[in-house]
Amino acid sequence: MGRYILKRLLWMIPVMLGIAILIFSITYICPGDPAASMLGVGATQVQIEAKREEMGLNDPYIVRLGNYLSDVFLHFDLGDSYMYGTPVIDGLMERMQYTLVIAVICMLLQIFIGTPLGIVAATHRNGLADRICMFIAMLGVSIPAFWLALMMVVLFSVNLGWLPAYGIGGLEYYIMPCLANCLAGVASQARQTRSSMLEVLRSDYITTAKAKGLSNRTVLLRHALPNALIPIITIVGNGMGMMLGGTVVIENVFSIPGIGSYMTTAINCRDYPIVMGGVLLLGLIFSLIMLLVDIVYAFVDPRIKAQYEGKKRRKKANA
Amino acid sequence: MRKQADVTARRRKEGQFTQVLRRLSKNTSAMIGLVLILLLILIAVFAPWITPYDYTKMDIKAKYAGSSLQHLFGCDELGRDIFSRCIYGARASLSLGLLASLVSTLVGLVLGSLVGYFGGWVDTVIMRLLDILQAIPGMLLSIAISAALGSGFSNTIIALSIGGIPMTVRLLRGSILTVRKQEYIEAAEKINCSKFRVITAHILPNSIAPLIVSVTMGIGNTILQAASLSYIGLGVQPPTPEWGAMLSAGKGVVMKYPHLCLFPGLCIMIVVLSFNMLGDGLRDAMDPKLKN
Amino acid sequence: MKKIISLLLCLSMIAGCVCGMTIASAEADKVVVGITNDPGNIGPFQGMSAGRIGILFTTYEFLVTKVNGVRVNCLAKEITQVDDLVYDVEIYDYIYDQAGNHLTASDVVFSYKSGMASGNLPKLGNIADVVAKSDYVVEFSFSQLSAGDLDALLMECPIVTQAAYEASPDAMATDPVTTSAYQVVEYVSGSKIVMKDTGKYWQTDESLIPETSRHNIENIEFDIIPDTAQLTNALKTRAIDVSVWVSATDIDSFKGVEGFTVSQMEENLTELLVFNCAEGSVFADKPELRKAIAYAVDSELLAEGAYNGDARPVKTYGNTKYADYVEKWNDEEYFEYDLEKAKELYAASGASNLNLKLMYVTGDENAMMATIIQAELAELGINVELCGYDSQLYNQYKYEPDQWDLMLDEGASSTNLANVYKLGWDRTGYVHGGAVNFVKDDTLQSLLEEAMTEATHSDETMDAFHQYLKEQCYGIGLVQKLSNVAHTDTITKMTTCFRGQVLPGACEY
Repeated sequence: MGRYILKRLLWMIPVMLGIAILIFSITYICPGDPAASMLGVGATQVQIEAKREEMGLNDPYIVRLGNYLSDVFLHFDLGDSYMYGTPVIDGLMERMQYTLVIAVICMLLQIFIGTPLGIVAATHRNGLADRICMFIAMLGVSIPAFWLALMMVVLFSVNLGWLPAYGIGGLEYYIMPCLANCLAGVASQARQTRSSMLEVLRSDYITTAKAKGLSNRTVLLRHALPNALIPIITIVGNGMGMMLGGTVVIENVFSIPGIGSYMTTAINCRDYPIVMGGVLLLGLIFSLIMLLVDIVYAFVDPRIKAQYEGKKRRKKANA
Repeated sequence: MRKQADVTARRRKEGQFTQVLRRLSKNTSAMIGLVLILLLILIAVFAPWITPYDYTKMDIKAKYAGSSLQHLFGCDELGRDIFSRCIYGARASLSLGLLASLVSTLVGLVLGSLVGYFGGWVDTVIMRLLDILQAIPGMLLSIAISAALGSGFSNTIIALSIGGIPMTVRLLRGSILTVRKQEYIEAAEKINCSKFRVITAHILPNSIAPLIVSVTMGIGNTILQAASLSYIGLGVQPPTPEWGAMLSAGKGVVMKYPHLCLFPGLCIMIVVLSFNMLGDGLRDAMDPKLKN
Repeated sequence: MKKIISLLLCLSMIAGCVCGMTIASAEADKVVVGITNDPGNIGPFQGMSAGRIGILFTTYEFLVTKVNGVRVNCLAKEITQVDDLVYDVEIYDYIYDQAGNHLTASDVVFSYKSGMASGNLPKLGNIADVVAKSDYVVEFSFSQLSAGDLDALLMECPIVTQAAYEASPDAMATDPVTTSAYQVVEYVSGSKIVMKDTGKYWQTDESLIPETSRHNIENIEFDIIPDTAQLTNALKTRAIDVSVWVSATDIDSFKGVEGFTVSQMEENLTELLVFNCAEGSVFADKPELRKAIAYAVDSELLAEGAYNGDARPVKTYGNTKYADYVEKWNDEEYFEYDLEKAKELYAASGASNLNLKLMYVTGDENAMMATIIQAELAELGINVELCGYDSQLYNQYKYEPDQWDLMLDEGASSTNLANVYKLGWDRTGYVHGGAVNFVKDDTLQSLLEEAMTEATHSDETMDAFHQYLKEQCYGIGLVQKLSNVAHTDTITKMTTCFRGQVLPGACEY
């Protein structure tokens, strides 16, 4: 297992390099001009062209790519933002703190609300509880987040005055953003849990376990749930990665300076240092989470662990 | 005794596909979902004959008008009939939403099966490539696609579907990993089943459930995403109606005139709902454990 | 798994506590202004952005400023012309920044040189040299000056002291030390900027303080709220006192409501329609066709349909907000909607079965305008394909003749109408050598140069250019926006700067 993890960690080097090259190439072919957005509406085309030259945007692709890669991988420098003139890494870190809070809270809500809902729905298949849970889940994926967010603001801020309508501050500022943001996640978590629980509940070993006279609760939590966990872990991992990328809609509605709105603004202004730095950071986080997911797989399912280790043994045998 | 043998023989002849269909047809909620979907498709096809108004017909005086007998769903910001636009919008939204989901599912299915079944370097290479792909923000990827390939329907489908592929592959890979070493797979391999047959006949039916759930849940999101693509020249350009674009156009006035968002939102909800009902049934029908 | 979860829980608690500490206590003497974009970097030598214009005058002072369209001295005491292209600017001798540094001519030179070196302030490109002649006199020499350029140049560059700038660790990106009465006390990137009147403003003679430098309230907070629906909510809950960005449809809900006032402001923005006249394009050498379209577009309908009536048709390629607008244009006819005439002209142009691409920047109002224009041109039998792009793509495609046939453009200037003309039609500003619509018309260029050159800038030359542009119909003005600003009764009189932004220090309370 240790060797598997080490191998995966080493693989992250080419992955990061791949991300850097891909994102750089994308920014290269994307239409739009950072110089134009820096100078604003009052600049003429001639002035914009001069600025491009000064910023080195007219250099050949390979030169700029080489410079960027050497800055990032040899000097660990993500560069300065075009628009703000400040170091990209500072901006990313500052924004990351808010996104992290929201992502973690949402993930916890998703896990601790979505999973039980799914289990209840699966054990009461086609019963009232199932129908209610699945109706909530269906609402969850079809209600647009911005709509839900605004409706909550109207109710809790404008009419009742209980919660602040926007901004950042104490935990009360995070209540509405997290609720609005996690709904879709809770919904898909519930659906996915229900589906894989149903799958497992039909298996022979559950029938056996029940036949052995084990209590329903033990059968569910000890035997069924662990075997239903794989898809659940996958979507939790994926969801966590996505949420750390920030949710533009929610951040916009609640004026939260998270990573999502930061990146979107940067993309809209073609502030490429921020875009590339952000993508690299998120790519790194994402790769780590995916590694974590794969490790958790192994702990949950010994068969998978054997597959990871099996390869190692086979290699030894070949040698 | 003889009769039963006959039935078994016939079942074998029928093949898996027809069996699945037959089981599906016995599932009420799946059938309701299917009927709803077919209905929506019919509405989309026959939209020009159903709509009471031309979807581009403006009447500035009637802008933001609420529901009435003339305008069932009221009027939008330019006084166009929302009912007609919702009906017509089914064309773009359904075709974009369904095709994009289909493409990302198919690609995900192929890649996921390869990765899950073969493991080893196939797994490493494809999964690491997906790591790279998934790090790129969807918006940027779409801009790049529109810049490199140009606008147009098929490129819109590519832009919409590419983001869904990694998730599909990961889900499938996860569940294939759990069935990969089960006895029946080894048995199938031992009796010299071809790899293709092992994957399609034994592995996929046992591991596809999470995929069906995630795809049917994701359709609504795909329809919403299509709206953001029109800003970069992909997707559908106004005045052609499309539910996602109608939603985002109504976003600014959602407080004052909620009906601008309500009706396209409901349309998306119906699509999501019916696909989930069908998907649920399909999953049950394909589950080998429920055979007979 | 459990360990991971508990770790994450701890993390979230810590993060929550850290964030919780930054809650500001409510102050009585405070006004909150809603803005939609984060300036990102408050430093003096940054390019103009949507976030920056909102806070600019509260943060910085300039040599001169503009009040009601007229130049007013701020740091400058006197401006004298030495030569055609040389001006002396004398500044007050008792200017101190908030760190106590004495501001002298050398600081002005430093600020201008830094501004020029940054390349972010494109207007400064007209400056040939700037030198300190004495402690309080700065000599500017220009390479060329168009009408209104002098004003623009003197209020383009924020002035800071060299000592303060060099003492700042981040080039004043988050905590600028300026001569303004207000200083930044807190800047939470992407969330809010809090400023406070230090009570140490250098100009003690009240009569000499221009509108843009007033400090009528002690505390100012700029809240960054990107979502327009939320801006409305924020104003409703009185979390903010004023914002110029509240959408036109939502303004109605504040009219006649106790505790709120709605004031109407004119904007300097004009919506324009440009015809692509590049060689080989549909409109090249076809003035009848261009005019047919101009007559087929109903500006009244655009104002009503896209702007909820808060806009009015214009009479030139610009609007009435500028001091050099020629009054007699108000009584002239300017492509008033006339479908019959449009049809005649269309028939005369010999064109048929046209398919035109109309390009615009996506946004609610633009999309509505484009859709209305599309429907109106359908009456002529012209098929219009709508090409809405985000502003980045738009700004790129603008210079590519095969991307569009018709373009919805926006014209604005902080100086004068001649400058609006110049930004669109001055061929020297384009790499492709044509004007905004790619046309290479020497008559147009020479008329423009007469209208925009300081010496010949007059009603007559402006009119000559306007008439020629109208006659050729290369591009037309559509509507000018009137923005309604809703504010709480905390503010008794609203004041905005020439860019249409709230001047919280100058409002009356």
